[in-house]
Amino acid sequence: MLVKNTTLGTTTGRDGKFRITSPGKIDTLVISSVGYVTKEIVVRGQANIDIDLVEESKSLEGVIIVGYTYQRKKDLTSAVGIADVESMQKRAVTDVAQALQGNVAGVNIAAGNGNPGSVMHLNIRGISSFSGDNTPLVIVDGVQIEGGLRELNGNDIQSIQVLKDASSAAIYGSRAANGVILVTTKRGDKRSERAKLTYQNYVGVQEPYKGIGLTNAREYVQLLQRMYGEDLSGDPLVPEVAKDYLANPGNFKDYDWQNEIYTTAPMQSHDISVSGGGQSGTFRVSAGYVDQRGITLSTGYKRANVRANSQFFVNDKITIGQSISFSKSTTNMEPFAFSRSVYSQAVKQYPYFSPKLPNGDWQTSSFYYGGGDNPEALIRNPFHYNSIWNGDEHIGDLSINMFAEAEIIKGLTYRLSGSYSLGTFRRANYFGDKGEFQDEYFDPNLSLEERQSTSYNWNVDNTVRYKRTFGKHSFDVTAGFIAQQFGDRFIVGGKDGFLSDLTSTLNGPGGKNPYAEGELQESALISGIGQAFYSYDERYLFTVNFRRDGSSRFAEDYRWGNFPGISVGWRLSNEKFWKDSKISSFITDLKIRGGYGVLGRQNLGNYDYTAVLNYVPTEFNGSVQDGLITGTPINEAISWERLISKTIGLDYELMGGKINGSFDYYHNDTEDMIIGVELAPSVGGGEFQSNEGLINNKGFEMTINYSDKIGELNFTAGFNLGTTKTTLNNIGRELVESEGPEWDVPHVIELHRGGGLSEFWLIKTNGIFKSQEEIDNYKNSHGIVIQPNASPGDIRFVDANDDGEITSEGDRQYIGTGVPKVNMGFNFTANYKNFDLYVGVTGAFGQVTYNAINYIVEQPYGFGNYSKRLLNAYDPVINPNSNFPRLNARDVDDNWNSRPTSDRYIEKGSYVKIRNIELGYQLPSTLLQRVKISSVRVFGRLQNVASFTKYSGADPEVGSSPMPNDDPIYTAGLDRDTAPQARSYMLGINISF
Amino acid sequence: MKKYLISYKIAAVILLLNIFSASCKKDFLERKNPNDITAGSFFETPEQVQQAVNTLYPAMTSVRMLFEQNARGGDATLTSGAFDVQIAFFNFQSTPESGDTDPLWENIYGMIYRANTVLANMDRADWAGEEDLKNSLTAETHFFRGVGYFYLAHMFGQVPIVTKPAETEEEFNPAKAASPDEVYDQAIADLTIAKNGLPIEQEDVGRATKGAATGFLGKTYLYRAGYLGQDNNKALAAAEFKEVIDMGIYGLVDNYEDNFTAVNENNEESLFEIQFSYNGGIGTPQQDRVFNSIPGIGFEIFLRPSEWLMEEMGKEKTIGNEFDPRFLQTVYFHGGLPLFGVPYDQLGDGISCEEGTSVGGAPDGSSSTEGGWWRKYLNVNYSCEPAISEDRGSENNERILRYADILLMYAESVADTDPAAANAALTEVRDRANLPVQSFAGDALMEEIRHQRVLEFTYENTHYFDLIRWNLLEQELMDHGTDAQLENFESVKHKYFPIPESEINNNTNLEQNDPWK
Repeated sequence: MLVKNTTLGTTTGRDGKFRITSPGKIDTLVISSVGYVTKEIVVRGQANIDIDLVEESKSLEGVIIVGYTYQRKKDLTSAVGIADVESMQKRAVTDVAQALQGNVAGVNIAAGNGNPGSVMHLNIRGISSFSGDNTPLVIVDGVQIEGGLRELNGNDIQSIQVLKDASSAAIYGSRAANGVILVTTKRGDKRSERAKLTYQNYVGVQEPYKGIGLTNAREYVQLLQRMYGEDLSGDPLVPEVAKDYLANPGNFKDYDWQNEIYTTAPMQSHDISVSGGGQSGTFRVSAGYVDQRGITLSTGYKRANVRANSQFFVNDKITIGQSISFSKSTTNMEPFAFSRSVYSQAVKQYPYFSPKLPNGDWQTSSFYYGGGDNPEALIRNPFHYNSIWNGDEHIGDLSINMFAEAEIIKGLTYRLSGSYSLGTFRRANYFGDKGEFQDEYFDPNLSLEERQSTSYNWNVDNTVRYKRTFGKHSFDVTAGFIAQQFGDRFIVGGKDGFLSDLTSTLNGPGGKNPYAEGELQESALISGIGQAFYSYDERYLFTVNFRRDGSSRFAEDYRWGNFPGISVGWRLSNEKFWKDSKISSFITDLKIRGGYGVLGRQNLGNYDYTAVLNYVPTEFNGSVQDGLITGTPINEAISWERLISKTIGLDYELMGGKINGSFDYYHNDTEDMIIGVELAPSVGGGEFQSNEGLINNKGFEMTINYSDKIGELNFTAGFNLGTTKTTLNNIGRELVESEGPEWDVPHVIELHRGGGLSEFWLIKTNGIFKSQEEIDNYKNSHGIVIQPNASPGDIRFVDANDDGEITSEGDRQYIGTGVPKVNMGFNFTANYKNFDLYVGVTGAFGQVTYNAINYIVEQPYGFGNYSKRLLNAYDPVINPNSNFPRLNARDVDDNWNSRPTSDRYIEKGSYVKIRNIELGYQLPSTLLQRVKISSVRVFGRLQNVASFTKYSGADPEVGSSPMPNDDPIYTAGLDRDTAPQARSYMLGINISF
Repeated sequence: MKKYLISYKIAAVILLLNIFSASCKKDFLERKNPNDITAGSFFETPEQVQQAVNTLYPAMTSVRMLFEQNARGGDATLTSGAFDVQIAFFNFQSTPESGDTDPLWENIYGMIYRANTVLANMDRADWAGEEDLKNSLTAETHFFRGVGYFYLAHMFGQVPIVTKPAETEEEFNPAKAASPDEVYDQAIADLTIAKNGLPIEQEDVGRATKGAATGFLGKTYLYRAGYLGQDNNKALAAAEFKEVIDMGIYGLVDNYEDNFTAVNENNEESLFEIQFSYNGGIGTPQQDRVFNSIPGIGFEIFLRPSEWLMEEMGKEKTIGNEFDPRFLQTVYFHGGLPLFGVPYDQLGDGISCEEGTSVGGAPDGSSSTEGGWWRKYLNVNYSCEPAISEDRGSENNERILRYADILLMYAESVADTDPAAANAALTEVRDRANLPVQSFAGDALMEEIRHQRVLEFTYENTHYFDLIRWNLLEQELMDHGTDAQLENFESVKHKYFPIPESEINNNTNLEQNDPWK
């Protein structure tokens, strides 16, 4: 509350009462409050004035929660992104992270997999640390929930803010270096007259994926004939069944295996909530249920949520509040057999191989179908595997937050808050009776393994806040003290050889070879925080923050770290010269800001700084003796990683709010990054943790929102874009390759010092040879014929190191990266009378994708099913114009055209996806008044509507590959075993009483 | 009144803050690892040193790589199920990047690292009154380091010699030895200490003995003679082997099969074997030759006996005009012994278990009679459960050094200087196989020794290295190698395995060997 153009001012008490004395007769009173539109009133000598303030809508006037306080976006000097929650809630997804895609610039989200319940990979402004987690910190109502975004009920969300740079996130300490996603759930309203009841639901179906072109039985056998002769006698390993087919094709049916493994799958969601409040308090209680079956065989996800928020106003000085939430979910996992997804198994399945036998049993593979004398050549029926395997994951989450806030003196508030989150995880991996010739499955026969883990975290926050305005000066200072503890305990145990496949617990009869393992991991943090906002005349804005952290993960002498930050802003549009100029009617608000800050990370194991002994028991004929020995050298002086974050940005508003947006440029360096420096095997090997690493991330973000009105049509269009360039300046070694099953796609991704993440280094190809002459003339600079074993129709590989030979180590070149360079989102909302429309689009550009499925089905050798493209293979007689490499059963020994380490399978991966289209209709209130319902809205939704991409595989969004290690640093862009996302059609209804 | 209220409130706040800061003691940030024993005080008692020495035995386990040691040499051929990387290795096409033989280097040095750690810290313990134990443990430790350097010398050639745990930057990046000689010298020095300090027999069966150390010492001299062309070492080798023979405690077991099953382990023919046992899954080493499979039993099958091998083994019949028992026990073939009661021509798709009995896939005898499968070290007692224990491992010990090897190596080392002694040793081996008595001279003597080595030690990680030290690998490939092998083989390059990338990338003082660059 200010008397305009004077230094007279005051603040109201909690009850809203104020008292101000001014000498003038006529004054203008300026009343402002966070969350409300600033109002000016001309006072002409009245003694008493009643003032009503109006709540703010979205725009620079909006309220942001930053740290333990809240500010207006106008006054913010740091980089904070606000999610458009309304459009997020129009996405029928089970995972809130999926809804967040394309919503905030700089927040990069990619699905690891299209299966329901699968992990989403999130990062903010790029991946900036090598070991450890790169997921942003997710805080829901002050609690760091164990379950993460996946276990949240999206309908409970009121607002999401993303804190992107050091100066905004500093207050959250370690792990805030990855950025912070602050979620606030809906609360009741103090001014409600009565409780409001809302029910929402949607039901829908998901469509199976269409599939790629594979040969049918006739075409398949034709290809075999081209390679092994008309009568298939060219190789003793040609399966018997193929010869039988030749003799009697009529005895066999054609099966489209891609069709077999996919079905339409339903999904539904129900949500009910009650909220209300009054002078003494507010409340909101909600319950939700979501069930999404997957289009891929045997996948699915379901979850139930309950949440209760309340706040109590004890008197005008003290507020007490709490939120309790509970969630429980079950994910039915995809049956990966032999480290291959259902899809990779299905595409290789013979077109005449029937999933079921005439008697109804699942058909298992056998030598009759297989390629000769080795079980490895057999192809497994995923239905059979699914019938003997079961591996569901059950997750539970219970989170509580309680706080008390008291105003001690005017402007000074003390807040104490405590939260606790408990997550449980249970996974039972059951494997039944393998049956004949299925010995190659990894799991032991009739085995059960149960894994149970409990993880928890709690924190206690003590903060004091002082807020005061003196004339044009405004202060807001917070200081506090936080303690946190994290823990995780797991037990896993199992047995095998049970008597029957009806066993579902470890007590089942007949179980043998019991084993059990377990571990406890705990860590703790203590921090002191301080944050100060200062603004002068709402034009010059400063924020300073400081944090001192001590972590249990470092030795005593290296335990503490100091992390400061500062950011400044200049509200140009409040300057006199701006307001006086003509431009102020066009650019109504403009703020320039810049920030610099340091955040700490503790990316290493909980106990890594202490050396432990290795237990190595030994057998001597008849007895076991203990063996203990010190391990390889460890670093006791390991300490904090530092993220140094710099941002400059611009927030603007044009034409009074019709258009608003921002630009940001950021440059982040992770210094002292903890990396494992490998020791040479000759000195014992092992890894030595060291603060030596260095990663740099930089990029640009842009947001534009445009709202307008044409007659009765209101619309808003929002566009955001973010770029990231990651440079691995020092990762401990020159080259890193990931580990994982190599037998399908060996070693195509490398990380190089000085390069980026998930880089494909492959041998380049350059068409095919069309004549022997071409082969003989293909020489290196010394005249050596490079590919002397080639024949016409073979691929010409590029001899990058000019040594006259094509080798994997000498001739790989950088082809591209699997991580998108640019991420974009576009959201369009429109209202016309009672209709509303929403369209959401996301896109990612600049990445390449490796189509590992093509590698699997384009191999001419082996006897699995083939891609239709092989029908067009080069043949000097019947198909000399083709550019597709020739069929050669001896491909591996000859030119190896189908080698996985060439760029043959690399495609451009950029895509634009129309994620959602939603059309809704609000029933006229006249209809509803009679039944005492306050509003009803019906809607239809289309999800994953269409993709525009050059990529020929199932889904261009390959955030990571689940089978190797599901880590985007190593596998982004590697399309191996990534289940596609399904298109879905939904209808739904929202009812409010 | 208001003032008091205000100051009350302030006091309350300050008090609360104090309580919370005081309750967070320094201990809050001290967390001990509950899952392991911290290395705080170790190597302080003789018992602890003993525990450390025990860990050397499991380290030896991982110095065996079935495929890489048995694929080349002509006695094995690939099956259709072999992976691309294995085909490349077999064809001499693999590159250092393939990393096939890396685990050999890494595991041997792991063993040497443990030995160095023990030797560097041994003196810290209080050995009052236990001098004998100290000497014995020292000798035991040297045994492993000596064997380690012996393996490195003949598999990799000129390697870094590391004799203590690294501390300085220089030590963490050890350079190569000045010559391959130095590596052999190191092995010889260590094995000599071991030989002198170890007892003839150990209470704990399976521990290194004087005989084992002497045998390895002899082997080191003999390999040196072949690999480095230093024939004078043969006499030194002969002396060691004679010592083993003269100990009088070793002999050949009557039943050849006893060297490869869990029925008669640690028998009189065994000089050193790695002890395997399930032990309830506590983590003791287990037999991992799971790749020894035949259709229907086991997992991956990458190798089969080659045509040449079966011919070679079938050349000479026993006194009773039957196949050589070593042939019958090494290969499962038509005309040989049935396996679990299933004759080779009934094998069909594979052996399976029907109501507790093993049956072949073609009981009518219509299965192919060509070729064969490995039988040695099949590691199952019978095909029906519960034959294979936890994790497909088994309790069958892996024999590292046996008396037949000592005899044949002795014969080899004295073939030129003392043919009579050579023949005597040779005859002992032939006798066990029931072969007719015969005497050999001149070139025929070495030929017969080589022939007997094939019959005795096929599939025991030996033949390939024997061929290299006899300088006969190239000849062998020309005689019965595949075209692909001949195309890619280079005698200088393939004499030794390449240095692993994990060493080159992390050791600034080491470069890849020239032929492999």
